[in-house]
Amino acid sequence: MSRWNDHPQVLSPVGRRFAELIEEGPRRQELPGYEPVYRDFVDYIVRCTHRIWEQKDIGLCRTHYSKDCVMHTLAGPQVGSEVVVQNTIGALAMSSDRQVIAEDVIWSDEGDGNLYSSHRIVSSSTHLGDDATLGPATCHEAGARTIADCLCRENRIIEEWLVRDNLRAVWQVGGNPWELARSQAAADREGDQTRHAWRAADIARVRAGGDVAIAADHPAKLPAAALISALRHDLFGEAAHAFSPAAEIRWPSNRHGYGRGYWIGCLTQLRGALQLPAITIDHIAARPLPHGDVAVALRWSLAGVHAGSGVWGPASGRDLLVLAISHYRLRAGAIVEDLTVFDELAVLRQICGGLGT
Amino acid sequence: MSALTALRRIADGERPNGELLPPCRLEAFGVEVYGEEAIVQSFRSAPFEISASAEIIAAEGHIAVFEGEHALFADLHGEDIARIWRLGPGEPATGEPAIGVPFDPDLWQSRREVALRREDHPALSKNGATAVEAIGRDLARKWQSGGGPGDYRVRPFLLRAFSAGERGAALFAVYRLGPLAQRSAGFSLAAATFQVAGGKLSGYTLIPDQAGETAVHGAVWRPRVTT
Repeated sequence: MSRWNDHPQVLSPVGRRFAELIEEGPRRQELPGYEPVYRDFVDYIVRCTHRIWEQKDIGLCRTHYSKDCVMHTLAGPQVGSEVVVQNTIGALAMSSDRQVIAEDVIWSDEGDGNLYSSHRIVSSSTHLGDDATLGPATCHEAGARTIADCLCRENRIIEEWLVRDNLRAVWQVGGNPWELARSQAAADREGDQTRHAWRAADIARVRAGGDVAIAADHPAKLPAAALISALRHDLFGEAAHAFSPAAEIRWPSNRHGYGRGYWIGCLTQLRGALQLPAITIDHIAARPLPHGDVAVALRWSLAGVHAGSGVWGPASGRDLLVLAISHYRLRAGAIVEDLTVFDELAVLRQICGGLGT
Repeated sequence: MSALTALRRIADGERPNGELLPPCRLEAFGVEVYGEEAIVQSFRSAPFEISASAEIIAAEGHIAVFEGEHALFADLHGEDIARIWRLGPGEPATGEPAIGVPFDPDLWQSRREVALRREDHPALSKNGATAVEAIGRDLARKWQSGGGPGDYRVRPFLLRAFSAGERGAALFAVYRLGPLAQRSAGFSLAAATFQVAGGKLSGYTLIPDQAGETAVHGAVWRPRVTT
């Protein structure tokens, strides 16, 4: 199992042209069981995404996902490579011109041949086809940010955690997120409710606690401690010292601002709506960036009771679950950028009574 | 092709030859657009001619262009462009809906004047840092949006700054609450080119983002998920 800054020859996509990213050549990293075309793990993630989404060789999902792969989203888990194939075709039938632009791939060696990637993407596309979520085609541009965390082994993704800024995507095509959330919630209340058992189980997991272990000298220690200090102990000011005074903050639904106070504002907006909060840090990764910066990825979960009015409307009393992934840029010992993604549409869906009790 | 040549081409509304990196963003006219086609289209709609008399300042990782009331700022990787800001007059664009975030820019009763950390800006000299801090203080004290009365609260955040000998450039995000009883709230931008002499700021020119400021004035404050 290698350290976060081993394999310096495996470069982040940051600062590299697309032509360079997909240039073919010899291996730069040992990848047992992976197709020879992949030069290193970052190349595997970027190239297979390009082949599947842009070159439309969607059937490659069958050789790049395991048959029993579980894909976790805040709209519920989905299982199996055939589901991935069908969902990808459906998404491309709606936004056929989708470009899947890699902003970064932050990866870690999990040992025993398992590699883990946190792939931050902006999908640039046009809403050219009808879609179950976004509705009839509007021909509007759409460009929501997604982070896909993938556990990989021998050329296949064996588990995935996917977060997408879906509320922004709905806004981009002129949709009404509350109306959509209400209709999704109404559908959730139909039929066998055991299909939603995952949500209660995950809320129970988060409330039981248990953060992933983080070595004292790992770059993820700083942002993880900040999130824990803020959301577990309500010490927001202390937590914010991890950030540069002028740090750039991007959170879902077009929250974009600067400074420690703005970061606190994003958190207190959630915390004001959620009482009895519980947070777990579920996964960490870090990789070097150009010019001595460090990229850190944190996957984290937040559970609480929607007992406060505010950003999500009047208190509903519902138990809520948030699955989030944050990417940070660290420079000279402080966080200078925070890009956090979670599916706020799926939060509204829960508030409206969806995804089970 | 040099970054300046590529930037000149893009600013004229022409497609570059790969010098815009795939995740490149442009902030202009109060909105942000993403990717080569959207960036080129933005400049086609409102070209920015970089004349021979434009003031151009560059250092590793940065380039800034000052032309009359207009300025361009760009992050670079080598000679490739990773991010662009355009400041100056213009018609503000219609932005996407956004959730407003209520926040305290100071975290202190004694009001801070400029938020910066020198280590964030490795291409900024020690004298340049002193100069940029002085410009930030001036911004906080003298900022007047739209030619009206001074804003109620102004807090500059230093986003980018670099030195090139005795010259330099800085880009600030300016958080401001408007002067009226019902405040407008939001971030606009300001760019400065400066000179240092004898270790101190000897002069500077400030370019406010007039179009972005108009967009902030016109924005409706919505700290919630709306329809």
